[in-house]
Amino acid sequence: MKARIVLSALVLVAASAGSAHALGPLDVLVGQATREARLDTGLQTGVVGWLGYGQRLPRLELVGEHDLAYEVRVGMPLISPDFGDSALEGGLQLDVWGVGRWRLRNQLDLGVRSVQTTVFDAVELAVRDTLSFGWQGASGGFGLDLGWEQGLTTHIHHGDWYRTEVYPDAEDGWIAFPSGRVRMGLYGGLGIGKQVYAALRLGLDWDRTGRPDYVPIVAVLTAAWRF
Amino acid sequence: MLKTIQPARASAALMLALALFGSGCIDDRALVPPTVDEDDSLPHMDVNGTRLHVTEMGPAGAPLIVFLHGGPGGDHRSYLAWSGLATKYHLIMYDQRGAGLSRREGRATLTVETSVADLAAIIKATRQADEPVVLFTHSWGGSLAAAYIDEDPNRVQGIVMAEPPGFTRAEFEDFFNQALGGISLTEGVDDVLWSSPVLSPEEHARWDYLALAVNRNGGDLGGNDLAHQEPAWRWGAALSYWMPQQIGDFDWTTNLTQVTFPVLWFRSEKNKVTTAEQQGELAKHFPNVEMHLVMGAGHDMLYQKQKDLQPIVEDYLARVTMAVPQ
Repeated sequence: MKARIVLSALVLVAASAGSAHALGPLDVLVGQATREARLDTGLQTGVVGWLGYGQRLPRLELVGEHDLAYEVRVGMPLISPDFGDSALEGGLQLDVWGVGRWRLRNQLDLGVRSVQTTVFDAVELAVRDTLSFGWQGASGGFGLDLGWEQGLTTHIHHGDWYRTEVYPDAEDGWIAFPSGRVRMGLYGGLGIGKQVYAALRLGLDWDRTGRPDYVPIVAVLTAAWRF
Repeated sequence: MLKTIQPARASAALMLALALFGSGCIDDRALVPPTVDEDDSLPHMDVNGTRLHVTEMGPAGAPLIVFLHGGPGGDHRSYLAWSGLATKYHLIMYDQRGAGLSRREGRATLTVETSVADLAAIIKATRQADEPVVLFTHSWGGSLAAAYIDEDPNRVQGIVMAEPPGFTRAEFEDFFNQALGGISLTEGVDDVLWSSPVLSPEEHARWDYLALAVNRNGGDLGGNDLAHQEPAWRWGAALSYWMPQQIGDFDWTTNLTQVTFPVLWFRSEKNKVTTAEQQGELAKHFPNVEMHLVMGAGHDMLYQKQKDLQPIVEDYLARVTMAVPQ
């Protein structure tokens, strides 16, 4: 239990130090504003809500002329919200290539997800890389994205019911490389005035076993405030 | 001054880190109870090319009662509450192929045809002579029993049914549509969806574990007693996933009208997926049904109301097994 808390804390610190996300490209890379706060709500592994903050970074010699931004965000399912079921993600997004208003971006995220069920509690650490390609004008844009999410480790703690009624010898512990999934989708957004941006992403999530999630459909509405 | 990182050293350090990380991790199999392949001390039977977890009780040669659990994918643990029948009857309780603590199998053999053949093989292996055979079923087990006896209605001398989902593809589709339509957004559903990314179910152990979590968090459409849930060992996730996908079109009612014995049938008051009225319609496939409505219980009635139902079952077993010349 102690190890779980320590690792979780380390992950939280690491994620907070430099982060981003996977619901389409950050608008701060294409607009005039350099900061963005956003609210994402919709269907993705449940009825979820995410709060995010992104910021364009100064150009770095390391990445040449490519724009770079970071984002952090927290999320949880909304049907019965509690911090036992929650997630913190963060990452970096790089403007990789572009011709005119067509852009190719890559986003690398690190995330930690906490889960509580009647059978087990779990904490998962995962990384995700997402490529997105699309057209982005001054007041709107659209595109498609393809991502791979790789679980690095998941800690499982069996619940009392499971240990008492089902399997007393069940072991708590870490599972290495526990998961993987493909995420693909289409997104489109529209600026409303200079500061408000609304976007919709529709997609599918597939587990690495080739089987879709129980609800594989992704439909997330984003409202962003640029400043 | 920064030193140049040597690729070989970096690779070695990475390998060491991964090895240390890996050595601190648990095996997937630590999540769930071992199967008969992993624990030789479990009672088992080798039939039809697989190894099944089997509990056998009662005098050999007495009328044979074969218990068929629900699912597909459940196990026979909750049936142990019926062990008292072993004073008069030869009881065979088994976890169906790929379920419970029976051997895990690949997709190819997780079919209704193989499950029917397993049942036939178990009866053949445990029946001593011509003693009567009664199938004691719950839920999916009742459908499996219908598939078995539809091939030959005289194979058994009695059946106990408890809310089977159906005997034809159309009846199954009605059942599943009703189940899907009844799902509401509860915290349990929330938990199931939110937890889906944390483990990929490619290993049987992990898949079984996740499937159990889904079952326990999926709400109470069946009207089950969630405070005192019926016990289970291990869910057969691959079986419950692949069998419905490979089932095709089917009709196991063709010969059911030729059944000569009465069927003892339980339906529950609280089940919202298959109502008492729908169970009445399914029962019409059989010429002679003794229907009982179990008050104050849901789909798990055979476990929750076992003491109340045992006298009814004993009376039925006495009649159908005595009716056959010994």
